[in-house]
Amino acid sequence: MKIIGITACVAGIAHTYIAKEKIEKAAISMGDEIKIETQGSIGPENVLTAEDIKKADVVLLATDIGVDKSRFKGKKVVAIPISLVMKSPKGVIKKIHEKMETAL
Amino acid sequence: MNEVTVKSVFDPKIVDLNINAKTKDEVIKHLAELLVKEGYVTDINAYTEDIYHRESQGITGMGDNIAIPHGKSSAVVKTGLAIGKTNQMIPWESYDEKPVNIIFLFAVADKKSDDKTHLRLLADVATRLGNEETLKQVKQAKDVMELHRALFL
Repeated sequence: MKIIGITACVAGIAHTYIAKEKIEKAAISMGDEIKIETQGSIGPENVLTAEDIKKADVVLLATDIGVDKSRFKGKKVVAIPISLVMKSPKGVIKKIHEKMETAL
Repeated sequence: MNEVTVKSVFDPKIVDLNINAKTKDEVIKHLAELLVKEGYVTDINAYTEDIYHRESQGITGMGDNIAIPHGKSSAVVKTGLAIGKTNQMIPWESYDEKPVNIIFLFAVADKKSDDKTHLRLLADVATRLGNEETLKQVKQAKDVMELHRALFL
């Protein structure tokens, strides 16, 4: 499936970027497409476009700070603390798969 | 000499792969002292206070025996990354609840920085630390050159 999302941590220095890498690797290894926008100290990077959002099956918000969710109106949104991605990126992707299946 | 080059976030002078420390406090202090000595940090007390402030907000032991204490501090005058390897395992709050022996101590200035180049470089290092292959190489690195290769090449 097509997963899009945002990672953002408290300081915006390290976890934001580590989590992006971890969740991307996990998603790809499980056969998904993924695009993650980072909202760190450098500012937003790899920003999700309207097209990305439109095509996405699910939105993953792995954030420890508030982010603007209005862009994702009408989408299925999974919001989790960034620590879950740090601990078990594959577990997070699995959970998303389960959620999507039960939603059908 | 102080030219900003792409690899300048890596500075062997703030890397110590042979640290004799037993506690988290000792490791942070040791690496912070290196940062002061090499001109990255002006005030060690203010800096470590800011590091511990970030520590209080969430876990920095990322698993696999690696910790990434960090935080913004007004005591930082030059963005940098101190890297330490300890000779014994250090108790540390970690996602996998295991102790650590490799510590990346980030020094980041506390201001709306125009130092995006260096922040970008630190973000690149963080990205690499999210990669299992890189972690394996980092853990196996026996000297500064091998560490550099694992992280930056």
